[in-house]
Amino acid sequence: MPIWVVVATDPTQAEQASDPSNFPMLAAGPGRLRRTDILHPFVRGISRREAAPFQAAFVAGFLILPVFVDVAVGTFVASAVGSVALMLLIVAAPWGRWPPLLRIAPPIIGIVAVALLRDAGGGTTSGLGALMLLGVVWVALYDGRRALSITIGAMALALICPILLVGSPEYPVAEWRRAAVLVGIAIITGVAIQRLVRRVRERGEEAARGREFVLAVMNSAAEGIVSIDPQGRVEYANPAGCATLGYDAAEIRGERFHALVHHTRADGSPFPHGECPIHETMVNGTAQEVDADLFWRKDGTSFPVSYKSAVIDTQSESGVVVTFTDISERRRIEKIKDELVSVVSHELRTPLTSIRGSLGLIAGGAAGKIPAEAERMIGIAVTNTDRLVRLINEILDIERIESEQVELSRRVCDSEELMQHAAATMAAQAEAAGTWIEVEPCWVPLWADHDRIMQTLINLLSNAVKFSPRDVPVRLKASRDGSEIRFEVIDRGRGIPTNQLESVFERFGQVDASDSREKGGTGLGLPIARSIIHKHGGRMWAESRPGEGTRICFTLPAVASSQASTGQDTQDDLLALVIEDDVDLTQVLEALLSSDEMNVWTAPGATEAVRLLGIRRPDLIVLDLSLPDADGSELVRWMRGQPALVDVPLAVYTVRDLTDADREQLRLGPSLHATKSVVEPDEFVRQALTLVTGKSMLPPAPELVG
Amino acid sequence: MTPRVLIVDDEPDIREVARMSLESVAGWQVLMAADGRAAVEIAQTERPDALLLDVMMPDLDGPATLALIRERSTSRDLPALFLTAKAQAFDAGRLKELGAQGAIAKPFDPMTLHAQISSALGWD
Repeated sequence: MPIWVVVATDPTQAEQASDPSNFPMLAAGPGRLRRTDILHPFVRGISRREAAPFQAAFVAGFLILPVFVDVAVGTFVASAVGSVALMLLIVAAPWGRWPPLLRIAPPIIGIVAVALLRDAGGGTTSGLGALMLLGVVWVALYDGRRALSITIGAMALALICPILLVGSPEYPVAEWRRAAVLVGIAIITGVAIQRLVRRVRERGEEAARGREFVLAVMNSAAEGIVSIDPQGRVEYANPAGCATLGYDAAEIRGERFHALVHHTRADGSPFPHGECPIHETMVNGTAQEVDADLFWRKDGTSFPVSYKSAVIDTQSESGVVVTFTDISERRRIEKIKDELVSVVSHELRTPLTSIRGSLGLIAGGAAGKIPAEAERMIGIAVTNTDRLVRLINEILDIERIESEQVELSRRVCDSEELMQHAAATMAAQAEAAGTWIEVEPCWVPLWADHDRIMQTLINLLSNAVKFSPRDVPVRLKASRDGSEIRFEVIDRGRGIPTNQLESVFERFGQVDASDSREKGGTGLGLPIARSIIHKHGGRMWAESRPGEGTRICFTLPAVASSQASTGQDTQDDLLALVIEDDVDLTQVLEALLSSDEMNVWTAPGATEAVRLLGIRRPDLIVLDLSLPDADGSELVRWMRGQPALVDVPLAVYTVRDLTDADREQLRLGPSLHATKSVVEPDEFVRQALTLVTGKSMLPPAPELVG
Repeated sequence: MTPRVLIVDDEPDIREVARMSLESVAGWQVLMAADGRAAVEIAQTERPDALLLDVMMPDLDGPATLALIRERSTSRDLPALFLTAKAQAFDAGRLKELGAQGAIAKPFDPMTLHAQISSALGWD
């Protein structure tokens, strides 16, 4: 009967195999995933150590059982011998090679043994019958429906045979009832257990299939996938990840990921764990995406990598999953492409230079007078050579912008200057097309690449001019929209069909294929423009109603308004900002203002001033009105719109004669206005300093004005 | 006084077009060199007023040629312009570093080449 003892210990193992929460353990390597059949103790290849308690329980059970039954010595010995033989059979038999149904032999033998003991002990004294149920439970747990039927049949026979063969008085009539009840209980218990087992098994199989599928996906993924526990140790690495890093799955498991593969930066300096984006994900839960970094292989070599990290957050798991790709190949291809672009640029332009030059000389009459017909032909050749050159230039340009090799050279730009400059550049072309450009400017400082934004504006204006009807202006408009500035180039041309509003930004995505011929465009202008704006962190899109014209819009982030907080006011040193374009006067003012308590920053123009104002709120602003890039009054107007700057003392030092109305406009906090020819620099600085030192005591003093 | 310009380019066709452009359109005098070494030599012996220098040449490229020219005392201050298919790569900083006064993009317009040279060198 001790087989049943084992019943109690075995299901834990079966349970473990089907428990979905053990995912990482199971997932620890390919091939570790086990079949989730309820493991039959007779079939599975149990190891010696696992088998030992099983066997011990068996022997003990079969030897002890008869002791509890009050029988003659002969019966006891027979039972013991039979039990040991049965145990040996169970332990030694090659169950795996025999038909599955044979596996029910031991429980049946057990049932028969109980029946015999019962008979030997006198049928009437039997409570032993209940022990038979254990055999039924065993079969219900581990075998199929047929096996269960046979077992219950065997049990019924084992109960009935002695009654039939021996008869009364040992087996009274009541024994029939008892036998019937026992068999009934066996049927109910067996069927119920089998149902339960089947349901558990199905569920386990389902979970296993899901797990197997997920694992198969991860194992076949071309990207490296690594999961890291909250302590930064590798829990799982998929084969692609292992191969890329040069480790075995077993080697990398449990290692600290950062220390193992992410320890050193590209420049050779150590990469502190605290600065690692993956650590950042772990700590803050924010997903990170790194396009170009370095991972180190087991053999000490490194490779360029792009990776993403995201939080794993389920009930049973936490940590971070990192997916990464070796981008060496991408780098190599990029390099080849760059070289190709460079070679093409030279090799195509060299013959074009000769062609364009020769044609130009003929068309220009440098080679003598040519017939009118020939002149027209030459004109066509010149136009098309120019178009070819433009196409090459723009292909190279868009390649350069979209590859990472071109960095924007950003500086603080003045949106209004950009707009006026672009409009002026395009004026001649607009006039030739019978239209003109109306500028509706907006003064906002931008942190942008001046030349690239000019290129964008000119490009958009050039398109608008081409498509604008005669005698209707093209409008160039800008407006501030929160932290962004929004530019719009508006024409009243034929418009863009709604379904092409996006495709005009694709390469060679003109609305009408004949446009490149008729309008001289290359089909790359808008894609280039959009690339430039994207690089600036802005957006570009088109709005249009066919027949009513087109509006191309783009946004650029404005320079952040002065971030200066009151916290910075407690800095020990005061700060004066001198905005003056005359180098000599700047030096004089700087020398006069500088002291132990006062630092001086200088800006030769409005753009630089705006940049510096964004860094720290000064305690005094000294301002010249005639600046090379903007008028000082415009700058003051901007400063008045900045909450952090409205109360900064302002000292205006100008050659201009100011009216009272002017002075009213030129105010921030306590303000003074001095005329250069009247007030000497040292006197001006003395007065300016009183604005700072005696802010509240001295009123802003118009009488100081020269 | 008619300016004398030394054109250095390994492409004979481009030399020819540039020569015609400067001689016929502007009436300037033109000297020509097919490679960097010849250019260094001519810059010494002929002492031109300006140098128009191709960038990508076999053996001695444009910047290397200019460096050699700048080493000789007779041609140390010779105004030099690069004639290049990659004009974007020559921003002010790089030009200064190489010791050139400007860069003219290929393909150039032959009718205005002289004007481009004049304006780049500040000849009025």
